[in-house]
Amino acid sequence: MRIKEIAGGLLGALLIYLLLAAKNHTVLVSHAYLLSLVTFIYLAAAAGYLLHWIFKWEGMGLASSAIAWAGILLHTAGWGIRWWESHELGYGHIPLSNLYESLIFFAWAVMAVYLFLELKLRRKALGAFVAPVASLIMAYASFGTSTEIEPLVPALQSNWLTAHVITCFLGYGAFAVAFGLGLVYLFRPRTVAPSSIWQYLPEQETLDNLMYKIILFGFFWLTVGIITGAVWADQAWGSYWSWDPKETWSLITWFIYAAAIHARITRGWTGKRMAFLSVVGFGAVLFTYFGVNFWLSGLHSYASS
Amino acid sequence: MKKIVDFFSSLRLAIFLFLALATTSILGTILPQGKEPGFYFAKYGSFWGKIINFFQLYDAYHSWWYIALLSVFLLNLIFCSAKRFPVSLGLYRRDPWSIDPEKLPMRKEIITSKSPEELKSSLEKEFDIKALKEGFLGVKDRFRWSYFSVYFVHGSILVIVIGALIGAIYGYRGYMNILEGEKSNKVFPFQKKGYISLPFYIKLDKFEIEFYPNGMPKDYRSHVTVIDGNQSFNYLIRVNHPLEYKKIRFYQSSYQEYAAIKIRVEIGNKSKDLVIKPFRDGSWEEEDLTIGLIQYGEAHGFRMAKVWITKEGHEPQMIWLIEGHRQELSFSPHKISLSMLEAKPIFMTGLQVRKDPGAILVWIGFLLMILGIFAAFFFTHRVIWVYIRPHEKGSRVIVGGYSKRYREDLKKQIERFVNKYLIDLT
Repeated sequence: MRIKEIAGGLLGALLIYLLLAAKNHTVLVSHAYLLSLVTFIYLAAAAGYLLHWIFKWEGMGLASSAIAWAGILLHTAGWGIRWWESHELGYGHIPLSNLYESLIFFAWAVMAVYLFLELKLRRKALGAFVAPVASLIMAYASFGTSTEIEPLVPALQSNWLTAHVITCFLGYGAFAVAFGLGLVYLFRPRTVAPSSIWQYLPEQETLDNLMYKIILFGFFWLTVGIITGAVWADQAWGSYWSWDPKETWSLITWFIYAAAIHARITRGWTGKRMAFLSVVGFGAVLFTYFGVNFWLSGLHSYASS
Repeated sequence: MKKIVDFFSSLRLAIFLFLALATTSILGTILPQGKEPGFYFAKYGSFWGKIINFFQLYDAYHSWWYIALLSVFLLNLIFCSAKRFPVSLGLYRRDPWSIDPEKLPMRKEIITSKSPEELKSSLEKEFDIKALKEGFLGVKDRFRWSYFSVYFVHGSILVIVIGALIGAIYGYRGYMNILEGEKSNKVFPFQKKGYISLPFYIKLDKFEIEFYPNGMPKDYRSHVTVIDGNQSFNYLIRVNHPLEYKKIRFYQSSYQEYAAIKIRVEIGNKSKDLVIKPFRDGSWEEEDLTIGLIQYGEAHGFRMAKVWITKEGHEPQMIWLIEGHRQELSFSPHKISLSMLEAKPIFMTGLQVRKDPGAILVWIGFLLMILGIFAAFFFTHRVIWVYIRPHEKGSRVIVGGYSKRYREDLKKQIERFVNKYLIDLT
């Protein structure tokens, strides 16, 4: 286990939280403030990972990991506080109901999948690709959308909300990491000089295996997400499948990853083509998430504001 | 014949179909669905209009070519599974003991100072061990059943499709509008003309809307009574809380606000009070006059109703009435004055109705799919062999393994195993 990084992260998170609490004379720091701060923590982690990767600086790798852990802990705290605040307002609900809340959870899932991977992989340079993505998502959430807590419209008042959104975004988070791995795979030269910066990233075969496993993980959660969505749609709208654009795009995403998985299982479609499908698949994920909300109209419109 | 079977059972076809379905499914999300043919000609011109109508892109997911793609997909799924099943069965039945212990796959060889008996007793917890002519062979065999999980996933897709077909053939979806205080048993299907008469009635006792302080809707509630012959019971239908009775479900889907209004009509020195309800016009027969409600609303504390009036031999007229105010209009040579004495809001609830005898199969399919994918992805058959032979220094140990997938992981697992049991001992 990488106790040092996690302990460092925990300590850092506690310190930052206590400082903020003392400065604002409050026990519960405002969630919006905390979460916008997390944006910069992830950015710092990203910079650290980059330094670690380019200059092969071990200590910096350790430090960036600790920063990333501190980030995800504060992120979780901010999310929990938002939940608490919504109860204080009298219409409490789990913060998974609009664009802001889903972005916050998306970034959380991306970092969670990445940090889990880091624990298993014992290499940190990939953080230079993942942490900036999480930071960008947080930045967009904090500065591009409304952070106000709103009550739930009747259609969203259901226990299926939690199951549906969490499963979908675990899938999205995994696909985001698989996308990062796919990019690294595509850009990494086939043969690497010992002094090259590519030396610090996992070799092709490891990347390929990881990508495959993460896609399986994401595919499982996407499947559960689509199914919980269908069961909920039946409960709320009286139809488990209506070819609503969001539903259809999630199915398109499902088809793309299903193709990748089948190709790999039986034909040994490893390497480039797999990496390519991972990139295309993530494009479909992004369109399912954002494109449908912004350009196509349908039943899922509450996710767009 | 063999060629056809080979074609339908090929994995290339499966991958092609996944990507083809992914690509073609985009069309229906971009083009507006369910409009009249004329709409597409007007919007996209005659060339694209013709193409859209030929390929039925106005209802892309029920078009002939999409259904054909899905059918080929299902055939492919069945053929692939049928072709692979005997292979899986063979792998499942393969005896792990019938291996040549000198030629294990992923072989690793080690000499330790421990005697074979000592090693045997320390491995017994994890391994099944048999004595061979010389030494022992240990086998650890896990998740052998996992060869079948993929068939559960493929089977689940068939179950879902069968459920969906049963729903499409024997079920229906429609709507039912009921005014407060009234009852109905008529369902108007979305897809067909006419209506379906249910063997029981739904009566709307009361409809309520609740808002949050910021004006967002909080709850829509239809208090209904289900009346079936002599039996009846009350139910509260809300969004996410449909009513189910005799396999038919009723969902809160929309509402409309109407009103019952009382109007005093005066012509010359004659006057009459008419009560007008939604869809029930009021008539003053001696004067050949009929009034009907078009719209009702409240604004700035005023209750307002828009009504139409006809009088024999004249063009109908429309007018807005405000509660407590008198309005004049003329059907020359007659002058008519109208005043709305009272207005009582009446709600109409819009219930979506669905009967789907296939839904239960779809749910079973969903469950099978989740369990199947979980099993298929996270469990894979894995065997580890340990062959222990006496050696002049102690024992000679050969470790090997087999896994259907994740061979990298197995290699690491074998290394860990060697470190744990064998290196420590030397």
